[in-house]
This record gives sequence, structure tokens and C-alpha cells, in this order.
Amino acid sequence: MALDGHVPGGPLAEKWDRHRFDLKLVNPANKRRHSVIVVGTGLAGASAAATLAELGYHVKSFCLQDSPRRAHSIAAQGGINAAKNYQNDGDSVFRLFYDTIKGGDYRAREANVYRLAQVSTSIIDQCAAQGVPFAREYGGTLANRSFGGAQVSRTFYARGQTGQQLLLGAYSALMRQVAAGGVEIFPRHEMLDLVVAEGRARGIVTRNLVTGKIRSWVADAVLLCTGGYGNAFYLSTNAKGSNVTATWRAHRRGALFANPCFTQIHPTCIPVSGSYQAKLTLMSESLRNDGRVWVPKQGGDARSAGAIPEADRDYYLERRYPSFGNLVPRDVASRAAKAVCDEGLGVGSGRAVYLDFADAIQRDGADTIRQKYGNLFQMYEEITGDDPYTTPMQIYPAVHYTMGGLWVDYNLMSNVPGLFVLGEANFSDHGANRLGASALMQGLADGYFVIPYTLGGYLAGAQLGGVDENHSSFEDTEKQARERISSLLAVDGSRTVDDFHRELGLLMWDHCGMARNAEGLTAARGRVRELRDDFWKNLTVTGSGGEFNQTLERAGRVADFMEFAETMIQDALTRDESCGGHFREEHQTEEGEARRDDEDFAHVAAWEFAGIGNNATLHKEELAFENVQLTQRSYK
Amino acid sequence: MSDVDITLKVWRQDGPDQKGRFETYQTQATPDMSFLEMLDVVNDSLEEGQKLPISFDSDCREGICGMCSLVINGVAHGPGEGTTTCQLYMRSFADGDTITIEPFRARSFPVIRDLVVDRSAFDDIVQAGGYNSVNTGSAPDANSVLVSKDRAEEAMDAAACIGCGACVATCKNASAMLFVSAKLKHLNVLPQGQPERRERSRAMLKAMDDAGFGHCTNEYECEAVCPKEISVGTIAFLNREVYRSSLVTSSLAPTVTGE
Amino acid sequence: MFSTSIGKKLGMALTGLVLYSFLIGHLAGNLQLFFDDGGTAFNTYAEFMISNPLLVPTEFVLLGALVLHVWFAASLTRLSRQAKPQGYAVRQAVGGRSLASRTMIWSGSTILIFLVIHIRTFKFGQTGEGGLFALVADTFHQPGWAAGYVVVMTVLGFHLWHAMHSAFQTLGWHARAGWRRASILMSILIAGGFAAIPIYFFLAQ
Repeated sequence: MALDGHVPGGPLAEKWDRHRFDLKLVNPANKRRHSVIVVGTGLAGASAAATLAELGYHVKSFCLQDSPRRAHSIAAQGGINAAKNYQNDGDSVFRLFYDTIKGGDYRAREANVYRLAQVSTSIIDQCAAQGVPFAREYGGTLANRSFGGAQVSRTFYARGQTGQQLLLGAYSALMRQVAAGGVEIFPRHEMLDLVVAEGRARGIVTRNLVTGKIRSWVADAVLLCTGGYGNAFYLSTNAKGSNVTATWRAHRRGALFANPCFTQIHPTCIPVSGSYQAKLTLMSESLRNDGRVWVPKQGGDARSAGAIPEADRDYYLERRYPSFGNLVPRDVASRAAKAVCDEGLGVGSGRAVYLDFADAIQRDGADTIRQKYGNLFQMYEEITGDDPYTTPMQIYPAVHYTMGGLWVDYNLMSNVPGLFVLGEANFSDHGANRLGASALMQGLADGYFVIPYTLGGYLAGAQLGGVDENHSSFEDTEKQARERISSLLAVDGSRTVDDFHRELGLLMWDHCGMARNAEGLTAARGRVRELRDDFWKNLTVTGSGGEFNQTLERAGRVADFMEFAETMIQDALTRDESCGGHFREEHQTEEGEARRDDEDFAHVAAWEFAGIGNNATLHKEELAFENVQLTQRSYK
Repeated sequence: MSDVDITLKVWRQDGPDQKGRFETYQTQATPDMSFLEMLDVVNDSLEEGQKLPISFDSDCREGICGMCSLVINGVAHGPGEGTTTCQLYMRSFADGDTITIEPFRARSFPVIRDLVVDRSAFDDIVQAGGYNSVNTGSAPDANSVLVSKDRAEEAMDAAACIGCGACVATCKNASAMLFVSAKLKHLNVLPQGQPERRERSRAMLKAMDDAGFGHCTNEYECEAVCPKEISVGTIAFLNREVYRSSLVTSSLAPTVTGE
Repeated sequence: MFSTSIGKKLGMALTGLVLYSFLIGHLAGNLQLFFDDGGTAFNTYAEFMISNPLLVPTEFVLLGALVLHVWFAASLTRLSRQAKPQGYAVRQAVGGRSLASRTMIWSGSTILIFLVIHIRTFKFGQTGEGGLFALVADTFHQPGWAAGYVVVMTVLGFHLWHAMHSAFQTLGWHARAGWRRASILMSILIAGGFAAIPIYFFLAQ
């Protein structure tokens, strides 16, 4: 399959403008006749659904949660980047583009990233007009902060809940369109499958989670805005409901899955405390601005943190990275924590390092620290029972975000015509590592400012035949979805869904997590297959399909993770280099840093489904870098 | 700290129109477990015994999505100030405690199953006016409208509402005033919200009444259980906005300071 | 306006404040009962009130406020029952919920019944030689009447405990702890002042 990113010609800075002009327009009167399905109501989904309805399309919006406002974008804490250069500190569209490409370790498409940086400024305007209560300076202008090691202050924020405030903005726009009749919302609906009819994505099959009713919906285009697959690891900072089902089902219907092994491990999370643990909690990255990371120099040091003298402490980030110190990028900080714990120097359960504020408190006073981090300290104490003002925090990395996703071209359309993928669900903008405060930017860029143009371009040019719910593709897909539900219920075993999910997660974390190697990945692939077989033999799902049944919901999602995990491992195994969040132990410098192989791996690895248990087929999209020099990232 | 033995009395209800009942479960919990993880463990053992697990809502499990609910020993979101149920940890309970768990109760929040309720009435209220009517692309530069720091903070205090519905659940009148006032105040104090201020106040009040929520008797229980600690002063603001909207006939109402 | 939930609350607050002002005036007049002059001052005051041409219009205003207050209360209580058809098996009061606040409808109903008896006894009661003062004194010499009045005044105190700050909050004037303290202080002063009358006469006989 020829993989064409459809990147427009011309100089980088003019590509998007030219493309927007070249795209065909849908006549306003005709927009009303076009229907669009949007799955997911996070930043990408809600912004897309609202904007498309404003343009006149008829939109159906689906989400798992009991309200569109609860999608997991809501949990983002830190902020949103935009190249406004309000601080006059040297920021520009090109600098944001450059930082993002470099931060992604040169595994993203230049044109997409440049467009992202370009539209970032309009996002802030739009959100402010919607009433997003961004932090302000005393003079009434918008406040910015430096985030995630960036050298300029370009991050806009709303206390520690930027995600919620941006999502409420998009949700309010969505609700306005619901009232205006342009959008119909279907909360507590789960997409079970994608319907491809006559070569085009023409609808979806859903299960009403309240009644269990399965039915099909037809439309002229389908937008998947269903987030990432971090919960393949079971324990992650993702919401419990986050899952891979929508994108995996689309993949099984022909959509290519790109770079699935690119996952981001966030360095500052609260460590695992027990086998019952349901999720991990992120502590904002901003803590590293004042906290010092250390472990005891001697393994098994039983003294309490306060009783360990300076001489017996190893401030390993400051030691290894004298210029960036505790502020090294996420992937570097995470791997360093793993390395010291692997050496047996971990504290607490052995899988944790200290994040110590004693020096900052002595320097600035407890009140200043309380003003900056009070709510985070309080949250930490609620969860762990320890007081960070007197005892150092214990932190450990956790799965946080997935850069991989369905392959899309410059128009955000997958290789299946009519299937568009937005936000975290696609692979496009973050390469092998995402910078802090860039996820919110990408979700909203896709939804507010990209899809409204590119969807029109598709619909204006597409020959959409008279396909309705009675088309054989719909009947077949719906039938298969029903059969799958029945087969999950038919497995008459004794192991619970969560038990399987936990085992899969641990397997992935151990072998396809922060550090990977060929041997471990090969072994893990075999074990995933065995686990999947066991799943279909020994699973127990209580209740029936025709009712509210949370166990059944989870079973379907875990079944998909079981299939997806293998593709993730295959991608990690095939990408025989280290880059960004993907660290292959075979490819590191003498100091233990990631070593890229631009010669052989400066490409997007897009996988085509080839049946369960079979190796997926690899398609490569070569990445051309015409505007940046590929350099080795160094934070020494 | 050591494990605690807990007796749970949980509301079980098979469907919206079915009769519910309390069922009793024994479980052990460690102090570091979250309350919902304790329920996960109970559910795991129920499923292993081929019994239907307890249905309850949760998603982010870090206190921001507003999906989790539950009335625990008579308090929405359980003991602990400024927290949701998912932020409640078992160290708040003692060995031998009996914990009664009930769903959020209000006519406008019908039970779907066990502890899961339907809160879509909140979406209906937002649809009535909880937005600024700005189409994508039409916004001016964000810094062209200045907002004083105090005003922005005031809006943010209200906007912190996570729409969980604990205010309704705890109120003896099932009043949604704290929710509605928070939604309204967030937009009505900002300059960007002024053009629709009057109509928004009217429309959201009507939607709130139409959805079947009760009135406010100023007992401030909502404030006490609100995970985002939104002040009942916000309700006083809503009252003022409603009176104003019926007195002022022009939408060119002067900008007011809030609380 | 008054058909909405907030409108009805506004009605409660406004009529409540009218009745509240009346209570203050009524108490101020009644304090003359304590003058050690055999009732001269009080009887003069009573005569003045009865012969005042503004009496009837004022009475109509008060009656109107009372009727509306009761009507809004009934309407809102019905609304509340509809909005919350099922309560909790276990209930723990939080925030500002007090015994007084959750029994407003019962304390209110008690006061309503009391009003009928009170008006029949004193407004339409037979006064003789000693005027209204004597009637009051005679009535409260009876332990049953005196005790009954003290009990009802305690109930009134409970009603007022939650009344004033609640009314101002409804009017949109929120001043947290201050209003609640003032409200409680006022309720103690008013209820205490009224309750002192039967106690005084009972003990003074």
C-alpha cells in the first residue's frame, strides 16, 4: 500500500494557507444534507462536533461517559501551549514548531507540526471568548508560564485544571449546538465497530450502555476522537474508561495503526501501593521546579529519609545532567528513575524515588511553597497519608499518554476514506515524545481549526452512494458486534476481567514499558498470545448483554487490549532504535542515553491488520526533514 | 496501620423501575486503598462467585471528571472536605465500621442501576444558556479583552464546578442552585459573558425548574459537600442575577462585581 | 417571576421580613407591660393603636403577608417533596443544616395555629375595668396559658433562628457568618422578650 501523507507543496509556512484555498468547499445549503458521526467528546471530539454543527453539518456525538463534559481531557492539569509570544521572550510559530519536532525526537511530520504551531494562537483566542478563565496578570492580560523545560513562557493555564476549563469551553459550545438542533448527543454509548461500506467509512455500531441495545448509525463521515491506549498497561494515569476499542476496531476494518509503541511515561506519579490499585495519580510536572530527586547511595538503607545525611544521598538527576538537573524531559527523568530502582536503590516499595522539598522550604519558606503547590501537597497527603512538608514525596514514573495512534494524512483522514482521526487517537504531531502542554493544543487544533476545512474538502469531492442502515455492510458489522458480545458472555470460566487486565498490564509494563529489549519483547509477545487464549477460555462475565453491565463493558475493552498489545510489541520489536519514549536497551550511548538511527528509522511505522495472531503488515511513511537539522538531544 | 474489617450495607437496584433493597457485604481493606478500590475488591470477589457486582460510576479517579458519586454514611462523597468519593481513602475508617452506601437521590437523577444515576438533567440546564455564543473563528485576539486578575479568579472559583451533583444529592429539596449558580457566575462575571447575561440568567433558571430540581432553603449543605468547595455566596449571586434579569430590560446591563 | 422557584423564595423572604418587622414593633409596644404603673401606659398605648385610622390598612397588609408567606411555604414544601421523593436511610446533617432550619415548616405551622388562639384571646377577648393589661395579667396568671405561651415563643425563636439570614441570602445579600450570628441573636432577643411577658406575670401574681 502506498502511504501518502498528502502534504501540500510549497514552503512550510505557506502550506496550510495554500491547502485551505485548494480544498473544495461544500455549498452552505448542502452542508445541512451531510451527516457526521463524532465518537468521543474530549477536547478534539467536542470542539469538532460543535464547530461542524456551527458550519451547518448534522452531527451525532457519542461518548461513554454519562455526560460529554466528563471525557478524560478534563484531567489535564498543566496547561496549553501557544505561540502568542505575549511575553516578548523570543517565541514564534517556528520556535514552537521546532521545539515540538525536536521534543518528539524527529519522528513527526513537519507539515503537521508546523500547522499545529500556526493555529495554536487562534485556539487561545477562541477559548478566551468562550469564557475559559485563564490565569491573568494584574493588568488584565493573559499570564504564561514556562513548562516542561521550554526556554520560553508560552503555556497558558487555568489553575491546576486547564484541561477541565478548556473542555468546559468546548462542551459549552457543543451544548449550544445541541440546543440549536445541530448536534444530537448520545452519552453512555460505546462504539463497538466501524462500518465500511463500498470502500468508505459510513457509520458505526454502538451499544447503549444503559439498555444494552446494539444498533447502527449511518453518516457521510466518521470522526474518531477517542483518546489514547495507555490503559493497555492497566495501571496508568488515564481514566478507568479510557480504552483502545474504537481505534482498534477501525484498525481491524482496515485503518493503519501508526507507531503504537510510542508511549509516554510521566516521571512524577504516586507509586503503586498494592495489588488492588486501580489507577495511578499524576503529580504535576511543575513540582520538579522546586523538588530535588534523590535516592540513598546504599541499597536497602532502612533509615527514614530525614535521617539520611547529605553525604549518603545521590541526587542522580543533578549528578548526571548538571545543566538541566531535575528539569530534564519526561522520558529522560523516567528512565533515570527506573535505572536507580533497577540497581536496588529505590525507596519505599523499592519502586520509588524521593522528591524532596526540604531545600526549597528552607530557601523560600513553607508559605511560598504552600502557595505554589498547596493543593498538590494536600492531594498527595490524602492519597498516601504522608505530609510532603515534613517527609519527602515518593514518586515513580507511570504511563501517561500515547503518541501512537491511527495513521492519518495531512487532512487527518486515515487510509480508509471518510474515517478521520483527531487528538490523541491519531499519531500525527508528537513524534516519539510529547512535550508538556502540547496535548491540549493538538486536540483543540484538530477539532476547531483543521477538521472543519479538511472534512469539507472530502465531502465536496466524495461520491457518496445511497448507503443506509439496510446496506449489507451494516447488517454484517452489526451482526458481528452482537456475536462478539455473545461470545464474551459465553466464556464460562472463573477469572475476572480485571484479573486478566492486571496481568496483561504488568506484562506490558515489564517488557514494553520504559525500557525494552528484543529478548523481553519476543517473550512478551508469546505470553500475550497465551494470555489471550486463556482469556477466551477462563473469563467470567456476570449478567447479560441486554442490561446495564459494567463487567461486560470492561470485558470487551480488555479483549481488544489483548489483541492490540501484540501489535504494540511488534512495533517496539521492529523499531530497532531508541527514540523519545521508545528506549531499546540495545541502542544507547555509553552514558545510557537513547541513540536514534535516522538512517533506518526516520519513518512512521504504520501497521495493517492481518488477522489475530498473525504478524501485522508494515507500511512505512518516510519522514522528510527539510526545515530542521536532526540533532542528538542532550541535556547534560 | 493494619487492615480493617468493614461491613458494607449497599443499595442494590436492578433497574430504574425496580424496587431496591440493601444488601450486606463483609470485606477487608488496607488503609492505603481508595474507597472505590475497596469496592473493586468486593466486586472482584462477587464476580468470582458468579454474583452480580455492585454497579457504580467512576472514571478519572482523581477528583476532576465528576463521574463518581455515592452517599456514604449519609454524606455525599463521604467524609473529608473538598474531595470526591474517588479521593476518599480507607484510612478514614476504623476496624469494625459499618458503611452504608446509597445512590445520589433526587427525582431528576433517576437510578439506572444500584448506585448509578442519570445526571443528564445537568446537560439540559447548560444547553439552556451555559455558553457564550461565539462560533469558532470569530474570536478577537485574546488580549484585546482585558480581565482583571480578581475577576478572572472569581470566574475560576465558580468554573471549578465538576458537575458531580453532590449539591443536589445532599440537599433535602434536591436543589441544583449551587450547580446552576456556579455555571452562571462563571460566565456572567466575565466581560465575554455580558452580551447574553440577562437571557442566560432567565433561561437557566427556567431550565432548572423544568428539570424538576427543588428550591434553596439556605441550609448550605451543598457547600459543605462540594468537592470544589464552591461557596453558597454563588447562590446569592444567582438570586441577584435573576432579580436583575427581570428588572433590567436592556441587555446593556452594567458590569457588576460579584461576591 | 413569582412562579419560579427563586421567585417563590423571594416571596417568602419579602413577606417574612414584613412579618419580622411587625414582630419587632409588637415586642416594642409590649415592653410597656413591664412598666410599674398598674398598666396605665400599656392601656393608653393599646387604646391609641385601636383608635388609629392606619390600623385596619396595616392589619390587611400583615394579613396579606401572612397568607402569602403560608401559601409560598406550602407551595415550596410541595415542590421539595416532588424533587426528592425518596430520602436516605442514613442521614447526616452537614454545613448550616440545623434543627431550626429543617423544622421551619413545623415551627411555622405551630405559630400559625397559635396566631388564631392568640388573636381570639387578646384582640377579640373581653376587656373589663383594667383594660387589655388586666386581660393579659389574668391570662398569664393561669399556669397552663403561661407555660403554653413560653413553649410557643420558644418555637417562634426556632423559626426566627434560620429566618433572617436566610431571607437576606435569598435577596442576594450573602455575608456568611455575620448574618447567621445576627439572625441567631435577633431570634433570641425577640423570642426571649415575648417569653418574658408570661413568665413575668405568672411570677408577679
